Parts: sequence; C-alpha cells; structure tokens
Amino acid sequence: MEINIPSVVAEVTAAFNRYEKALNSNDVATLDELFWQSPHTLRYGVGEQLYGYDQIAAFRSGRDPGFVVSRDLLKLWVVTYGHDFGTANCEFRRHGQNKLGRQSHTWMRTPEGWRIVAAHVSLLGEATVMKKP
Amino acid sequence: MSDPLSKAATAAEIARAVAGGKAKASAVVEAALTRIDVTEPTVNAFTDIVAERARKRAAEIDAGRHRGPLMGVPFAVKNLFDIEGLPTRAGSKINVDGPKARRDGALVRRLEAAGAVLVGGLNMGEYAYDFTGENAHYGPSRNPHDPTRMTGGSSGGSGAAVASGEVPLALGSDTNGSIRVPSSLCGLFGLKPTYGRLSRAGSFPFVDAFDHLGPLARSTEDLALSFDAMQGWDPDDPVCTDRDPEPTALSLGEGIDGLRIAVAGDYFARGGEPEAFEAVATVAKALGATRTVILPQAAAARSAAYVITAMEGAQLHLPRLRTRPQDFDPETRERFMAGALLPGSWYVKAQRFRRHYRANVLKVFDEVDIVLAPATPASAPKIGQAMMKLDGVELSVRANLGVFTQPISFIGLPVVAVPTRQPGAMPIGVQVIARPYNEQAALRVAAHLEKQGVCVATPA
Amino acid sequence: MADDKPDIARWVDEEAKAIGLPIAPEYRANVILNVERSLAIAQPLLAVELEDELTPAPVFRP
Repeated sequence: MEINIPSVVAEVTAAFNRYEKALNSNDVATLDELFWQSPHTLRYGVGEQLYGYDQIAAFRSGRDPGFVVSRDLLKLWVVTYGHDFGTANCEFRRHGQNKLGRQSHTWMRTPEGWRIVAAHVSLLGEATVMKKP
Repeated sequence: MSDPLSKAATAAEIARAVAGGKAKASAVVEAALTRIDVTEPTVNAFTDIVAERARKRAAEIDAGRHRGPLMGVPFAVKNLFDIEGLPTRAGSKINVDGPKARRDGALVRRLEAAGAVLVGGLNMGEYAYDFTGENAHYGPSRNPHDPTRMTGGSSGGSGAAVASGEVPLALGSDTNGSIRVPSSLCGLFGLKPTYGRLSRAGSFPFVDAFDHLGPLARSTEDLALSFDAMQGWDPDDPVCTDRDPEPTALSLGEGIDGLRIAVAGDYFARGGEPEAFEAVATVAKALGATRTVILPQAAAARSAAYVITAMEGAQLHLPRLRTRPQDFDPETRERFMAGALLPGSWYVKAQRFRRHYRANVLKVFDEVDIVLAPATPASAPKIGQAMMKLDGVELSVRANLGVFTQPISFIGLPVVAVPTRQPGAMPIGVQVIARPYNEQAALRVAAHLEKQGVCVATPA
Repeated sequence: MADDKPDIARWVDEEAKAIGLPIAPEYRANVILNVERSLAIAQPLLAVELEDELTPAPVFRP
C-alpha cells in the first residue's frame, strides 16, 4: 500500500479545500455533494450523531441558511493510502470561541469523484488522566 | 556560458570573465550603458544614469585597483538608495528639491567594495507605496516580456532593468512585496532577506516595521553572491542584525536532501487565478513536496500588515502631505492621507497580533524547513489596469497584488521569489519561504529548481 | 458591523481637523474611499481576539 502518492494527496487536499470553502459559505449543495450517498456514511457533529446519507442531508437542510462556519484553520494533516483512499484531519478555532476544534474526514474515490465516507468534529475537552498504579 | 558583454550574461559570469582576464570591466560597463540607451525607450527602468562615475570605476578595476567576487559587474539601484551627489528621489517629485546624498547607501558601498560598478538609479512607485511600478512623475516602468504590461512594484525599475538585460543585477526594497511582486511579474529571481539581515543605512524609508532591501537577478548564484557581499553589521542602521554573516554562495549546489518542504494551504490556496496555484504545484512537484501546512490567521496578518503600513507610512509623510499635497502622485496621495486618519488602536492591535502570528508561524517552521506559496495572485496586468478578476471576484489591482507577500514580510521571514513560465504565457513567481536567517536553505531550493530547468530567468 | 457603520465622510473631516491635515475638496472623495477600503481590509484583524498577555511584537531596549 503506497502512502502519500503525490497526485492522490493533491486530489484529497483539493477535495478538503472545496469542503472548507462550502462550509465557510454554507453552500449546502456542495456540502451534500461531497458526502458519499450511502447508508454506510456517518457524521458525528459536535452536537449530533448521524447515520446514513439521508440523516446527514436532512440535518444540513434543517439548518438556518444564515449559518456560516467562520473559523481559522490551524493545522491540516492529509494522508493517502493507495490511489482511492485518504484521511484529512484538521485543527481549527471557530471565531468567537475559545476551544480548539478537531475535524476528521475519511475520503474515498468514487466514480463521481472523492466523497467523505465518515466524518467527526469535536472540541478539545478535559483529558482523562489515568494515574499509574 | 554567455558572452560577458551580452545582455544574457549573469553577474557571476561577468565576474569570472573579468577576474580571469577574459574581459575588461570597461568593456562590460560600456556594453551595459549602450544597452541601457537602446532599451530605455521601451522599458523606462532608469531615472538616473551615472555613466561617468561608472566608467571611472571600471577603469580603476582594469588598472587593478579593485577586486572582488562581483568584479566588473554593472548594477543599478532603486532610487530610494542614496547615490552620492544625487537627491534621493524615492520615486517622488518632492525629494528632488531635497539635499543631495553625501555618500552612497551602505549596500551600494558594499557591492562596489566587492568589485561591482553602479550605473544608475531605478524607477519606483512613489515613496514605495505601490505594487504596480507605475509613477505619475517618471512614467510607468514597462514589463520587458510585454511592454503593454506592468512590471509590478514598487521596485518596478529594478524588475525592468534586469529582465530586459540592461544590467544583470539590481537592488530593490520590499516592505509588503516590492521585490517579490516585480520578480514574479518580470520572471526573475528575487531575494527578500530576513528583516534586519541587510543594512538599510543610506536609503529612504517607508515603513520601519517592514522595510527590507535585497537583490533581483537572473540566476540564483547572482542572488547568493550579492547577498553574501552585502551581509554584515552596520552601526549606522539600528535595525541591522549583529549576527555574523552566513555565506550562501558556496553551499548553493548542495541540493535539497534533508529539507522538509511543504505548500501553504488555506489563505494561500485561494483568492488567486489558476496560474498562481499551478505555478506553486509545478514547483512543489519538482521538489517532491506533498504536505500542506497552514499559517494560521494569515488573512488577519495581511490586514495587520496593511494597517501598520498605512499608518507608519502616513505618519512619515504627514509634513509633506500638509505642505505639498499637489506634488504627490495621485495614486499615493489620498492613500497616505487616509492612513493618517486611521485609529491608533488598530496599530497597537496589529503589533500585538504580530507577536501571536509570529509564534504560530515559527511553530510551523519547527516541522518544515521551506514553505511554498504564490508570489502574486495573477501574472502581469496591463499598465493602467485598475481592476483584476481573482477567483471570479473583481478586485483592485493596487490593493491585491501583494495579498500573498504581505503575510510573510509581516514577520520578516526570508523569501526567494523563483520564476515560472508556461509556453505562451507571462511569467509568474513562487515564494520559497524559510525560517529567519535560513536564506541558505531557500537559495539552495531555488538553485535546485534552476538546475532542473523548472525556474529559469532569461532576458526578454 | 453593518448596523453601526460609521459615517466615513464625517470621520475624515473631523479627524483631519484633529491632526491638522488640510484635505482639499478635490482630494476628499478619494480619501473617504480609501478610509472605507481600509475599514474593510482591517476587519479580519479587528475580529481576532487577543489574550491580555500578548505584548506588542517590537520590544524597546533602553
């Protein structure tokens, strides 16, 4: 399995950038387009767990159209595996918020283009510290 | 290997020929003066030509009185550099009425100490508050690759003089992009060193927070040779570093092994024409760079650089704006006036944000050695063009040519601008950015790209 | 920001008086335009929240 084939990294990075741009402008059509249309697709948002494309699309269309994600990207970490699979993770901070955000995407190449098959967004919270016995 | 008397000769080639007795400095300088005569009607790069001084200096070199790594190399300087006996124009009409410079600026003296020969002063955007290279008093400098197009600025004459082959080497200044923008639009190699690396003594200021001086040339070896000759502490410049000079010319050919190279994403991957990002992709591919890094809040950095520039620049010129507003270039006058009226709290915030941004960006440079970004969002607009389309949006040329350069000079990082050119298209540059004082790595990367034929600067 | 938009023309006229910068009538419109533009360009900086401990980047050494 070849890791980080340059052309594949470029494609997944471009797909991530497209998604980010759509988030910044609440371009719901693009946000919907970039998720894999399948009952297997999953999205854990900060406040919800969505299983299957239909739940994800319903969530998007239920959002206030004025809802625009305004955030600073802090770090981007793209890794690709072979020709058809990649992960894009980023750290961000929403404008006006203190907590550090993390976003994970798993991308897959489909006949229609690159699609997100699983996504997870969370905010940095208190770590669980296990004391050594 | 070019004929040292031809317009294609690089500074290094000339110096080797003169040092080796294959060419006379006088012949080289005469050839340059002739080229300048012939080419000036087209490019309008020069505002002052010091022919007699240059001939005298060249004769002294031929008589064995001066030697050095830049022996016999004709060079010119943006007219904000002091040239002994001339008023330091700084692209203005007003300064012409001022005192004549008592001696050459520090970098001019250092290049001549290395054997180079000053031939004249170069056109620039008035008081450096410019990204176009146009000037109401002296006329626009014209892009040698297409004289209907701008050179970019504010070191417009520097770009035109080197890209046309009038001289192999020119000095410019860069506050928010004024070396990198003309390098990009004119297809040249340009070096904006680390802030404070080169002495600014004997040059007319613009923004103390951001002013840098540096060379433009058609080869990476020329950048390295001139940079090395100009390094060193200068007690006359309070900002100049007392860090020991770090020579770069000898290690130029060492290649890129071991360098961690990444492409700047986010802000630097949008807001430009496809050609800007294609240029970066081409360079990244040649370097095997696949990683994207984020310089967080780069948009705010650009804002902060804009605010500090507008306010420091305005404050500097306030006496002149009060007494001689009619003698300013209409393209700078009202911008300076506006800068004088902005809230002081913006300035303070910009300087505080600068500490924060610098810390974040230096963290990125813990993980990578080189970051690539576009130099300009588009290739050369037409002379006089006011608006350009960037990523589908109509934006002001003057306000936006420096969107990618500003967040970098904001924190004084060293940058080598490297030229790329697609067949049938105008040149467009890429910024090779390193951590402070690591010019050596940026120049090595540029040299590698030049050797691969990915980045080449031939005279128009 | 849209709700509390400053009257830029008034800003320019009064501030110019405050700092003693006469602005001739033929320059005024362009100065107003450039202040407006500056306000727009400054927004990303103005939107950033800074911690109290952040001191300005330049450090004065007596």
